[in-house]
Amino acid sequence: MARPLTASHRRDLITGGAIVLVGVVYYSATFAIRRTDDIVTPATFPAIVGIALILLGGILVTQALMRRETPAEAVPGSSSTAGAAASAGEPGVVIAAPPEPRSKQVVLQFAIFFVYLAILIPVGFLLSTAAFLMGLTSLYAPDRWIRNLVFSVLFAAVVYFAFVYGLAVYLPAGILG
Amino acid sequence: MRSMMIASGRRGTSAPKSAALTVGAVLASLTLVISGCGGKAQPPGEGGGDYPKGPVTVTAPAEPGSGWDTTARAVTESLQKEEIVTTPLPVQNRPGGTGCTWMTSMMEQEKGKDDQIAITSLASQTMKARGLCEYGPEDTTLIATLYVEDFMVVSPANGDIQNLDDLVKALGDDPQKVAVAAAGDDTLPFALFAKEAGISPADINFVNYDGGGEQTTAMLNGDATVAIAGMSEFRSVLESGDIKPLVTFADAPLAAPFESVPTAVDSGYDVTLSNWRGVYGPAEMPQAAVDYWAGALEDLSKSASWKETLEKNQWAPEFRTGEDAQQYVEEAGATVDAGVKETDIGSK
Amino acid sequence: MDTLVDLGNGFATALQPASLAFALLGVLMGTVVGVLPGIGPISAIAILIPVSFGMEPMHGLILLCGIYYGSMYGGSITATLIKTPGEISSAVTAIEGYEMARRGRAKTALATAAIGSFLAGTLAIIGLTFLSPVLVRLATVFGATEYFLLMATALLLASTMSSGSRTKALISVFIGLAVGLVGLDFQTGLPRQTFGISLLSDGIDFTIFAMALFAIPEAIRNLALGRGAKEEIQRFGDAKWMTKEDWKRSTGPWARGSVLGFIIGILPGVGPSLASFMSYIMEKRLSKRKDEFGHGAIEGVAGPEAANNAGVGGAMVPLFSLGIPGSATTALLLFVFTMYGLQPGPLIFRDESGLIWAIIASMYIGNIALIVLNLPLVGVFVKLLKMPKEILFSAILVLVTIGAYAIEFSLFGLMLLGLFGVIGYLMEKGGIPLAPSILALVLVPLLEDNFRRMLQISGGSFLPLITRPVSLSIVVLMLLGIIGPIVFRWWVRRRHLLMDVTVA
Repeated sequence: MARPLTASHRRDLITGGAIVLVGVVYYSATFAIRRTDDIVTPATFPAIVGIALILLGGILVTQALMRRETPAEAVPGSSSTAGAAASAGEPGVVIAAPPEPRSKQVVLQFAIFFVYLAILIPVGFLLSTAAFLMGLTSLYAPDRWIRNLVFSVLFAAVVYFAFVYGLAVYLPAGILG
Repeated sequence: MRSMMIASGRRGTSAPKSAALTVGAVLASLTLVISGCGGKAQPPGEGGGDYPKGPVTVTAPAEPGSGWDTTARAVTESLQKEEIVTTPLPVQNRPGGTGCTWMTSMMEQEKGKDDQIAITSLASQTMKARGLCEYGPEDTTLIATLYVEDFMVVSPANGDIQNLDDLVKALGDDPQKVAVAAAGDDTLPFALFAKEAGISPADINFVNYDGGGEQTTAMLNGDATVAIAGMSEFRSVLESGDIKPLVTFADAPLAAPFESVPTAVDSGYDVTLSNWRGVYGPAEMPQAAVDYWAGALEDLSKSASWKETLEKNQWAPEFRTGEDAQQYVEEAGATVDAGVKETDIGSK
Repeated sequence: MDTLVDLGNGFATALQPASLAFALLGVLMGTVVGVLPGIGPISAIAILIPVSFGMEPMHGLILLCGIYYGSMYGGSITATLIKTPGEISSAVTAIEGYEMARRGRAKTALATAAIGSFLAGTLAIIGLTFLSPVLVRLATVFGATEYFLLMATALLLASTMSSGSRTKALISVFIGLAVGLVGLDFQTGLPRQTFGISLLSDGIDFTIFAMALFAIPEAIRNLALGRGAKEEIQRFGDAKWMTKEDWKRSTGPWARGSVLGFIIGILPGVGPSLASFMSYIMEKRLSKRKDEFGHGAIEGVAGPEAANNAGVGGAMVPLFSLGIPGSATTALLLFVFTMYGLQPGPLIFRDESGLIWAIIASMYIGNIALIVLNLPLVGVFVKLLKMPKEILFSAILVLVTIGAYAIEFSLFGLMLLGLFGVIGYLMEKGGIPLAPSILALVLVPLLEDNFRRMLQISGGSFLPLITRPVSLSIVVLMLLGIIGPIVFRWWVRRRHLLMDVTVA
């Protein structure tokens, strides 16, 4: 729990900076909106939101810089777990803040997910889903490949038929169609 | 049907117990059970031969509960009930760009197919006239027009505006003070009317609402002075007497109980515009399919259940097919084009 | 007491065996369809409407009422078990419900949700039965000004939903607003913030946003952790449904949620989603264990679930009494009523009294069916969590993908899902809470449209904010709500008192 405060500072600095950036991009996009002579134009609210994001991001950065001198504040999200567990009435169910996976792994998982999203329509639901599930489960538990294969194929097929025949939600047939 | 459903209910309750192993199995067994009574258990058909071979999807290019959705569901219900069409007719909702998204796919992706039909109306013509959509209903394979819904201007029963003259006078005095509740494209007939009455459409204080329910509330809570929409939107409140009709833009007096509502033309304002609803198919839809649907919809228009639906919703029959329909729609399109140019809706 | 006699007759109709069977069947079908991500009550009813065609009106309506209730509960199941809210109102349940599930208390979460839904549904129907004529006035008192103020208050409160930095909560609210403003402007039809991408002109679908933000980061993180990491979910023990403590802690939220939900539900256009969010905020404010919120507080499930269901009953008030549908779902119900020859409106209780009371009675029955069916099934649903982690989470990714596909039917929609998944992951990593932005996304159209309507109607003047009695009272309450705590805190600090003070 006792993270070095510098890490939390750095996190807030980066987050605040990113939010300022988003705010700037969002605000500049409002200039593309056609102006009208209404009292509140279509651009009014987006402009307010863009400016607010810039300000809030700035405040976050300032807070992170200021807090360096007053290290008393707790890191949000990781406090108070003990209280929760105690009142849950089940001793031993103390759950720490979720452990953080390595960034490389996260990027890999997202990459696989995006590939799946991209091929879903051209390749079709059945093939791409089976491949996607097989990929993810085998990456996780390579030794249980038979179970993975059975699950991947069965799940894809069952879901496909349930949606198409049961609910008339036509999932992409792709190269099999 | 009923025995089947009760049986499936029993199977349904026991299914999850045995199938708790995977999410998929639970979902599948139960959804398959539902499909037993859903009656659309076939994949999309390819057509050809004795048309229609498989299900034909009826698309409402808007949210469930919207006008287009209501039309799509009413049409399929009557077609199935009267057994005019016996293949499954799943209704799907593809909202987007006031129907533009789906119309574009019907013109491009679905080109030449025969297992798709969709609902359209005057609103799609406004979209095209305003340059917001590349295609309009007149560019598609228009199969038929089904009915029209007449526009009506209404005001609260106990408000200052009791008749059309009051409205024109109030608009003349200070158009800013007359908040006109309108939903999207319904501003068009009112703007045309204002112009006829010698008031610049640009001065009209249109306030946008999402449908008749919101418009009615706005009038009852005093936000809006008058409202304009298709008359079915105000059906129930008109009956209760909370709001009263001022004028309609129909080409002839309305059916009972609204026969005494003046039409704009009779009152000396030359505006006639009704919101027609129709059915269209993909670009280059095979002629056999077009003929089939023209025939099926013609049977529909004569059927008792459809007539009942029209009456319930206060829709006026306006059944046309082929050239006749095309011509009708093009004429409406011309009015919309002119109206949009003159009144410059949406970009004041 | 004509009402009671009519209601009795309604029950006589609804209690026939066939009616009961349809109520059960409706709830079952609704639950199953509602469990699927991306398929909320609206789609559930739309998909299942053909089933009711050709039935007797009474049976068809009972079936659809059951489907409605069932699908609402179905959304809570996935929200709790796999943090995948299928619709707006269950997004709140995903916050505490999922945290409870992580702590092995999924059964309790689902039980308190089911019981809360039942109680609230029943209370709401009682309200609908006896208070409709009075309450319907509420719908006609709320104009654009009041709506705007209500939405602004809700957003202000949204920043208190999460613990931790207030700045970050506000950032979350504004991210939601920013996403919600993308698309065609409702008042003028002009495109905004679309960055020249025409596909963005329809705006960003709420369900995609909520699924992406909640479900994807969770699934990806768990998969990325690999097998070496310690198991953090699926701890069960021999957990009971509800302990005495759970009952005690749920009762207040159920009651408050029911009343709040019913009142908010009456306002057309607002509906159950705002009700559940507001109930969550209220429970958090009232709770003596604020720390527990965000870590599986049972109040955060009991209250919103009750509010959600009471909101459905509330939405029926303007529907039956004025013929005004308050939401897309009630618009669909209105259509169904019309198909059966029923004309909702002020005259319905006079002209159609037989059918309308039977509907109200069938809503009672549907509610009972909901609890009869779902309480025993809770254990079955919870077993899904016992699946191996990699299978569970990869299946979730597939299911949210189907959900997004069923909403947008395009590669673009799928990419949006992935993109918001990344954004959600980054937000969590930066410590920005997710829930406020989801509420903001839901509320932004109401906030902006009503603000602009207000000024449009008043000709640019802000006076309506203080000249209308209802709006003035909201303004006063808001000011009290902002200034009050500041004064209070100052007073507390001065007296050197510590935590044991309840904010009444």
